[in-house]
Amino acid sequence: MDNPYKHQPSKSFWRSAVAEFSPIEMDGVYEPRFEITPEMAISAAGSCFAQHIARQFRQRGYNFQDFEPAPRMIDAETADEFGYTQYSARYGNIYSVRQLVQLFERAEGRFEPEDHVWETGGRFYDPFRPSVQPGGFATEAECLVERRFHLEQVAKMLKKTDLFVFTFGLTEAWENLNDHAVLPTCPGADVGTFDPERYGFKNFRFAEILEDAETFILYARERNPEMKFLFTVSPVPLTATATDQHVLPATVYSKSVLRAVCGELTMKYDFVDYYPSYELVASHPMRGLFYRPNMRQVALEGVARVMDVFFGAHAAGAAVQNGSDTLVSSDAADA
Amino acid sequence: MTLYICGNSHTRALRAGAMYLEEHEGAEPMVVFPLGTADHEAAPFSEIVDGQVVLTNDRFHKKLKQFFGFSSFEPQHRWGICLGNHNSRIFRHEGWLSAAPTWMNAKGKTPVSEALFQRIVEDDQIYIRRFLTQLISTGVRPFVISAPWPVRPDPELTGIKLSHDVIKAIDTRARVLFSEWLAERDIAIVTPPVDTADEDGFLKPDFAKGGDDPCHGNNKYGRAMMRKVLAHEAKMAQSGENVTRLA
Repeated sequence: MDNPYKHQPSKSFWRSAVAEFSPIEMDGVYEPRFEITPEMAISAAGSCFAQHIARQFRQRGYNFQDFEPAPRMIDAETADEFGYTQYSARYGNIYSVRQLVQLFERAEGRFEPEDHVWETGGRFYDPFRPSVQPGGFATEAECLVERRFHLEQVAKMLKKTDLFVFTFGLTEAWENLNDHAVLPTCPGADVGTFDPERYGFKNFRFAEILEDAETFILYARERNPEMKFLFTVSPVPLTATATDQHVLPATVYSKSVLRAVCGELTMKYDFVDYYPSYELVASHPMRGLFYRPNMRQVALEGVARVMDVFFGAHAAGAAVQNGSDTLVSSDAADA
Repeated sequence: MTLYICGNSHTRALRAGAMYLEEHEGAEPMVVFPLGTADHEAAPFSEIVDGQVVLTNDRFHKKLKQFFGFSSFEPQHRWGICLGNHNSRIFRHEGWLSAAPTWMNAKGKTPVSEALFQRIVEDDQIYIRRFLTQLISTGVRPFVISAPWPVRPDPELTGIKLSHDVIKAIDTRARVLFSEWLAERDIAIVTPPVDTADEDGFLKPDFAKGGDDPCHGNNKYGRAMMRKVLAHEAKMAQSGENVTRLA
């Protein structure tokens, strides 16, 4: 008897798409929604896993944009240590979309956070990118000069971007309770000082993240109406949770919400694509193969696998049109 | 005690100065020779073998043997090392066309923070610092003789379009950082005479080699610098500081 599953392609069936393959053989997990051409100006931001994506775009000859390149006097290793070349500007890891939205608000002078400069041990840190300057800045003035330049470069970004790549990292964040500025790290965890009267824990919920993402999309497309977006979810679990949950369910909650937001955005907007880097590393058919022994850090093999699948799919040619792959599978009856 | 001075190409002016002072001002005999050029110090050139520092760069090694008669640096000798502060290698980098030290607050230029600048200087001097550290660790008590003040660049000759302010800021800070590094190791440095610099801190034209030479002092500079070196050594002798410490 005919039924809709009889017309589904083999990739739609667990047995033929997953069970019969080893994790490194699994194919067709990603089919690009639109082509990424060599001419497209690509900018990237996100959690730490996004660094790999940015690096690969750069290395593979795509038109990856760096609005805040490293001074040419320093070598690649030093540049990386000082937060250059990781993304399209020297903003460090951006774990939440709220932080991303606020970055561009700051760059355009529409938001002046209360957290100005953090002093720790006689060194000075930018609260919104404390990791880009190892050991901190020598003076507050130095920190401010560097920030001014940084935000000037960020302000140029969206007008000159055709594809914005963002890796969603966490739902958990810390914010300033007075102005709701979202920080990339908990004050006091490394630098800064934790004041419970001033800082509060925020675990973003689905609706908030979706609203933030749509705010960003609207904002970005006001600068470039043709801009496309590639979203991914980082497969790197939480280092720690500030909720009262065990870190494992807290991680699964966090990633699930982020994944659901990406799904919603992809279904809603045809200029948004989702790349399943999370699934390729963290899903159970991968058997944890692509993690280091602590099951948190992604092994180089995992990064390579994620990148090979992504760029392999794009190198394969045109973006897949919906319904173009209609092989009939014998698994139809099992579905 | 014989004073031995070796180093990069800036040692040539010192040699000319030393010869003049020996001949005309009754200075004690000293042995002053360049071992090579500044290019040689930008790669590893020394190591410790059997408790003494040897030069692994062929040219350096050959010249040390040829001019000084030594295969290594021994603790009983007094060495002046003319390496360091050849900062044109740093400030001539065309990366500075789009960057500036953060403390200059240069609008539109990539700011290079104090810490990053420090790293640039460390990277530039890595093999010089390694060599001096090796000397100290093997009981040699060297002092350092600085390269001259920077020669005011002529863009027509050097192709450098950098502002003199940027060059001076880079050179000044790099000199401070090197001096601090030496001081932490109790290594003295003889800096160029103040009166060889113009009001902006560049080497006065009558102390510069001139022509198409972008960085070296002339014989007159060598004389002035060697007078300062000998004054430093006399002061050290008075205090007993230049007596070799074998223990």
